Amino acid sequence: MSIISTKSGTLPKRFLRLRAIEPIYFILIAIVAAMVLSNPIYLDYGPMMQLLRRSSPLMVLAVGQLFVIVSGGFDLAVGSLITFLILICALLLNGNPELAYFAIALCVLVGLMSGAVNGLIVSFWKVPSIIATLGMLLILRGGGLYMSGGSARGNLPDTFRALGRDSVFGFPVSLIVVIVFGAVAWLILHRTSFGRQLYMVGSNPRAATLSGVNVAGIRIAAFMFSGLSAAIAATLLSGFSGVSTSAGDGYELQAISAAVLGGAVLLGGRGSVFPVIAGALALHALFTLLNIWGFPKPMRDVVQGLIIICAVAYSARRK
Amino acid sequence: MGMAGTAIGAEPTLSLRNISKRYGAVQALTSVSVDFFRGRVHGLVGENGAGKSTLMKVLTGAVAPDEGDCMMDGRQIVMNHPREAQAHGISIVHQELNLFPHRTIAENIFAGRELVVGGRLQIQAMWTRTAEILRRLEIDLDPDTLVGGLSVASQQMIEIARSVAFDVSVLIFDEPTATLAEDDCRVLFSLIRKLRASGLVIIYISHRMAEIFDLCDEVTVIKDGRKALSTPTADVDPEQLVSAMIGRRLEEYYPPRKGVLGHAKPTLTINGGFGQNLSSINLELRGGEITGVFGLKGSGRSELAYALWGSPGFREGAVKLDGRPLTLTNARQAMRAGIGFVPEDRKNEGLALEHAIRKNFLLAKCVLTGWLGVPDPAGARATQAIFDRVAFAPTDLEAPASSLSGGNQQKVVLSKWLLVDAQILILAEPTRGVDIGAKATIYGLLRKLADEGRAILVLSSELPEVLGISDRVLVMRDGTLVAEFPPDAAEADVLLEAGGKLHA
Amino acid sequence: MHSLIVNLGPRVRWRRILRRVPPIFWALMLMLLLSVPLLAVYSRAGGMSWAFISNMLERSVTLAIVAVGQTFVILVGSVDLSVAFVISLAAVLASFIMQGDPSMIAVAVPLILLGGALIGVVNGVLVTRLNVNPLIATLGTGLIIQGVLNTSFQNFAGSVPREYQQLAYGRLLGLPAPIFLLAALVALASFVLVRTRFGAHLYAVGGNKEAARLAGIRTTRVIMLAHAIAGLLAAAAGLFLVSRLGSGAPWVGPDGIYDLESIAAVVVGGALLAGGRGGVFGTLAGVLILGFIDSLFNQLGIDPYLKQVLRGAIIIAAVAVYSIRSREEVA
Repeated sequence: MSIISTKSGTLPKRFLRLRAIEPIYFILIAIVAAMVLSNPIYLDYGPMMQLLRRSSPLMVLAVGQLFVIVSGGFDLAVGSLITFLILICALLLNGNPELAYFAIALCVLVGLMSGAVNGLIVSFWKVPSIIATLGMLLILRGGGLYMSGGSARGNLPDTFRALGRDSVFGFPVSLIVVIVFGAVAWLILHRTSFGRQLYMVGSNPRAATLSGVNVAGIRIAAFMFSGLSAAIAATLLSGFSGVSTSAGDGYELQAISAAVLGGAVLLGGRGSVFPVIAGALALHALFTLLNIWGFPKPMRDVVQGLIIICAVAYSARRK
Repeated sequence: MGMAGTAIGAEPTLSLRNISKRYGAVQALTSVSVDFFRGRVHGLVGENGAGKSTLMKVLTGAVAPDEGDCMMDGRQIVMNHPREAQAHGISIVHQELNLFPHRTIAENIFAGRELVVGGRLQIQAMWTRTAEILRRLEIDLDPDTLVGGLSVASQQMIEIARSVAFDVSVLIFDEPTATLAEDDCRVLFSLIRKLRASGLVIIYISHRMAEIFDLCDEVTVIKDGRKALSTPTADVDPEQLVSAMIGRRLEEYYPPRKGVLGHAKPTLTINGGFGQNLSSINLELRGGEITGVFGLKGSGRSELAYALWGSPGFREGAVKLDGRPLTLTNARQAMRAGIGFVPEDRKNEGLALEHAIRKNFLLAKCVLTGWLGVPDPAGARATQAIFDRVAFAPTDLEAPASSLSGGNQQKVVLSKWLLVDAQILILAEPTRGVDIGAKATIYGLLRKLADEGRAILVLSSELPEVLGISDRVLVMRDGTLVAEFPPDAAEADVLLEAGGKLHA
Repeated sequence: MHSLIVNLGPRVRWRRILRRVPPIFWALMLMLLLSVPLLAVYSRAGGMSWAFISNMLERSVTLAIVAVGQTFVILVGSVDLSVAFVISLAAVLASFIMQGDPSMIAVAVPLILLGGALIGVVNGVLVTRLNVNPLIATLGTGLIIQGVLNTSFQNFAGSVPREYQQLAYGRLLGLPAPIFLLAALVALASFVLVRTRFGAHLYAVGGNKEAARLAGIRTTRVIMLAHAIAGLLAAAAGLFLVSRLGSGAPWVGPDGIYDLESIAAVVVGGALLAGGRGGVFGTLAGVLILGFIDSLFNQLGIDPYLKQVLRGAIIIAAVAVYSIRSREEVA
């Protein structure tokens, strides 16, 4: 270490530096390749777009989850939040096309509020986020069923489903939503002061507090962003899924698995938007692949469990 | 094996022979030999970083020496693990108490060596034995009391009881009075005397001269990793002992003072500040000068640093910035008031270690930007200018902060505050774990910053540093500022003041 | 002073026994008393009765068995979220192996208990050897079990023999058999925690892991064993549940929210999620309080979905009440 500074200019060669490419992109390519080999129909434009459309709710959700994971927590309430929103909107709209935009706005509002409550419970009541959001899962699931009387009632008008169903020039609208949402998330995470502070909160909350970061505020905002992503995912999902009491089941763990596949480190501090979107796509493709190969659907849970445990064990080992 | 011991009356019970230990480039101990005798209290003194704690770690098996032997009752013993030291009857009462707060005294004393007959815990028997031990040590507590509810002093007694409950022949105390009130010290001392009378070897580490002379039969001074002095306490006086400990080793590294005290803005004043371990704090920081606060462990020094940073702030008292009242209840308010903070525990509180140097450097600026603001990338030229000031030449700003040496990490923390141009800097132990070269840079930088009109407060437990860098030196003891010295004060005077009057 | 301390002996002994009765029991008593007039006015079945209490006890047995196991892991500062799926697994396997044949009971029960303990050991290995956060590790294992279960037993219909159902519906000395089962379990678990070296080590490891290690306690082994016990008792809970239901199904565990409710019961019973404090009697009180609230809701005829909402809120509130005081940052 030299004490005397040299003017030789050893400042960041950020753009010259060859960044290691995230492994998820290779995984994604491998899975897609296996899929195409198993069933060449996926090379066609239609089925490929269909695959992308179907995975768009997960992509949005995984990006939302990423915010909470980077802050050091989990949001296990998003799946039941999706179900809740779909049930409520179906009940409220009951096929009435005129109120669709109002309903979407309501979804966003409810998503933000539910996230805020999660964040408040974790930040101020000091309840570990897994327990807090699992409790919220029960509340939302029970609440949705209570309001709809235990079964799916009403239906959603096409205007509501448009985001998840329509295409412009043969390109699914839901993918445009994913791109816009991902871009906004990327800007927030990597180009704002908030994003910078979010990473600090996740990797060292004590140092963040002592550096003046509003840790509670940042955490709450992260949960709200996750709630927002659930609201958007709900409208996208409604494009191809029916109104049912299990519409969003399992999405919370899929979102976490996708984020982890995309290189996000559970318990905080690491993760980036585009690899996580790729992770969501890879997970969805993997499920499709399992389907093609004739594995029963519940096999997905096993895969997700393994992904989560291995990823955490791997990052614990590296430390 | 080993060499013939220089017999002073009796054979030593425990003796260290030519112990040397090296950490990387730092020679922590150089051929240190000390003899410890049964039935005597042996004081171990030395400044922070002199090598005391390394010596202690060797004694307790926490580190293995590179060279030298440990002899016990004339036989060589090898201790490569704390468990092996314990097996040889060497036990230490740590500063951080290793107790189980939700368990009773009896359960604590028998933790890990429970009495079991036929698979059943002998609760009554353990209770009775605990009561006996407590009685023998004249600790007036019920064995069924939960340890978590006891005062720190009582917990320490329990820790001692745990050490002596089973075969122990050497008991080491590591600055045991740092967190104790005066009355408790007296109780502790009478307990130590009792243990001495029962034939234990007692090694007592402390900074406080009063305690050393009150309690110890012999004293050894460690300085720069060598034994500077080893003598019966009766043969020396405090001044001699202190002068054996100190020595201006780094004189040339301290920058020259201008000799004028600052009066200009910014001034930060605290009147009647109270808080956790803080009482009646009256303090004025003035632009253009470096104020030093010297205090031993437990003196309230750390708490004062946090209070000035609002985390947590003073519970009571008036804080004023340039005459205007200032609320300091969190770090953000302090930052907005133009204060910067360099925490004591750099790795856990100062940096997010696994994050890039650049992100750590920009963090303060980023917090001040507001959430949706775009963090200022601090153009290459400005960054270079700041890094030049702190003499930091990073090879890669995207490398994690953990890849830097202690000195360079500290420079990153300092740069962070230079970037937001903090006018008041609070630095707690600014050179802890920092190599000598970087130390000199930091000292020089602090002087330059003060000369530019900033108010700087350095809180440290290293006296030469405080005396070398400060324009005035405040001494902290028992949670309050007790004295002020000019920078040319004698080290011995300051040290004696910080150690307090005779406890017993 | 000598005599003073020795004279304290017997009195202290009593205090020691009283200390094992957690204050939460007084809260439980108070709730029971207050509910008498409430039920007298609003209940569909007409007031509080012996039947109400015995019903509540019986309904609480499954949760109590899981929660006692959960107590062991929480005491060492860990947690087990996989219990709900272990319960399902045990219930399904019991009906699968027995297939209504009474002679298979002796085969199925030990096998399933062993399987539960093994799953616990896997959790323990993940937590101690691979350093995976226990919430995540057990969430993962739970997910894997759920997947395996749904894959293999989705449309499966088997049942346990009538004889086996005696476990849940039999009567002994005029009282429902499960009450004796519960009493025996609580007594045994309490003995292990209070009267054995292992119990003392559990508290030590949870209270201060580093100090426990320094005191020569093998912390890894203690945590593993705690997880094994939690797994074993979750399997036992599944075995009990299937004797109540007659046949197992993959959803019986998650539907009962046994994971969260067992954690809530332990925490309500005065245990610290960080470990080192808690006990079986506290957990029992926690279980009874949750069971009581549940029975009360039933008796008052509250909508089942609304009940789920309230359960979620109660779980969050229960954990919050106890953790709100901690200064530590959680995530």
